[in-house]
Amino acid sequence: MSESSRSEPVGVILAVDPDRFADVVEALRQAGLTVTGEQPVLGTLSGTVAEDRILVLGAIDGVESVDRERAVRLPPPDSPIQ
Amino acid sequence: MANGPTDKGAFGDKRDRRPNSLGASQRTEYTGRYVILLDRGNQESGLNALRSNAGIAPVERVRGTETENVAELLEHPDVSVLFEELGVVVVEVRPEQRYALVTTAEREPSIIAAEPERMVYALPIIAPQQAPAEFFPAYRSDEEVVMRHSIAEVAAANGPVWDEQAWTWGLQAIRANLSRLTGRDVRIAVLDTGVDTGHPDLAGRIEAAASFVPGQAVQDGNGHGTHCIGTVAGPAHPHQGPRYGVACEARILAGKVLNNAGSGTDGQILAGMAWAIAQGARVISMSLGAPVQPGELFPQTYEKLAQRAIERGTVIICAAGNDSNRPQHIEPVSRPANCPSVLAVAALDKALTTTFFSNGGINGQGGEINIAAPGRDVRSTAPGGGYQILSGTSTATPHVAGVLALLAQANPNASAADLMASLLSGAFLLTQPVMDVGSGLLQAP
Repeated sequence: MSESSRSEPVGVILAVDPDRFADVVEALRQAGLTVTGEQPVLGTLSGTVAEDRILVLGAIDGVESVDRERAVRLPPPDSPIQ
Repeated sequence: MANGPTDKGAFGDKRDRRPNSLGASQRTEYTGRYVILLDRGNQESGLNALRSNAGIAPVERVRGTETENVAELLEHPDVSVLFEELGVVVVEVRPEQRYALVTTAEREPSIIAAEPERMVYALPIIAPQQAPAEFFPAYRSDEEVVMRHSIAEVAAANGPVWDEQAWTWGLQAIRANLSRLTGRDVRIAVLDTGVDTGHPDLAGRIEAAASFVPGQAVQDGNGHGTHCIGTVAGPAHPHQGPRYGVACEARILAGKVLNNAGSGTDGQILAGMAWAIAQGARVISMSLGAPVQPGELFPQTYEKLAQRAIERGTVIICAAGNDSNRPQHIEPVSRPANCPSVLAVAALDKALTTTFFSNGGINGQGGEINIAAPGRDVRSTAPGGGYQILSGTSTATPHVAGVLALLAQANPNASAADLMASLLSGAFLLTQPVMDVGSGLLQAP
């Protein structure tokens, strides 16, 4: 059912158990996550996933948190307030 | 965290007087001691009433000049202490007599007021000023702390008039101009728009640099990162004065996580944080953030990462954000500054008041302001070899990073938690709300 998901991919960041990082990341991939960056020592990673799969990622054993990725935007360089 | 029970006298309950034990004192309703204000013209009547009706401990009298033994007397569980000139007596009373004491105080006309000791718990809020002496006795005596804070009081009273010929106002406000510490060889990571690696003040100071922005080199095409790095670690003798860098011998780890337009993603920031920790950063300074809604929870992933960073000895500090328009409108602390394990930095102006744009502690659970630092009209390095004056919580945050470098130099074995505790307890108390300035004005050790 989820294979036919048409929701747009969104950016997510995750914290997982660093002691079994590779296994958990593999499970996340199988659940639909496209990994864009990983920090194995600290147990965090970023990626994209169909929006309706976010809850599925959070339920995977070893996943400690899933947050929607957000952009940081500084004011324009000529703005006096930074 | 409360101390275990100690010896109890006939009158005294356990009293926890450690300056940092706010939690313990807030949990304790009464400790057995009362502070009583007597009619100064008729002190004996009040004392007699207390003796006969409430069975208070024997009274020792202290006059203004006899200050040496007061602390000892106050600690003594079997003695009440009368400050004759003030007409104040601090009494020890048995738990079962407390009610009698209160009713006596209400009845007896020569007793003006009686307050249980929990009212004295205002003291620990002031006492943390002395805490750094516990960590850095070689660098900082209590007398010095008192002196510094007196100067800061004068500065606060003088308002926005600063002589910036030799030192920026920010460095003076945080007393960096009085510190002998330089942050020598302490590694501080600044995750931002990169750095002008050719700036004459910064060249040779960059320990490592890396870009996490696809397609862009670490060279700063924005100016934001170069300005922040200058404030953290600008040299003792810049090629053009005044001095503006807090930790003039710290080593810089410049991580580019925002592109030259000033944009970046959480993924890039996480990658930069992991790099900084791997490079041995004692502090990660992030003058960046994304706005959150009132009531919104902090991002759990950043919190997990911050916890793991702290375990590895790295403190994470972050700008509170510039979304407010005070006094009418105060926005909550941005993310990731709103994580419980990340210190959020507010911005002060030259009058040492909260800047109009500085976000406040609207949200609980990490959404507090932890400390305030100079963040208005801050002069620092600009790409191309020059300088520029900017404002924002972004400019306040690197002042805090610099002070953390000084603290880390003073105590190389301090854990991240130790450094954070020293930082916050060393802050100068401001009269503004805690939700705006946290522990107060940043102070260099």
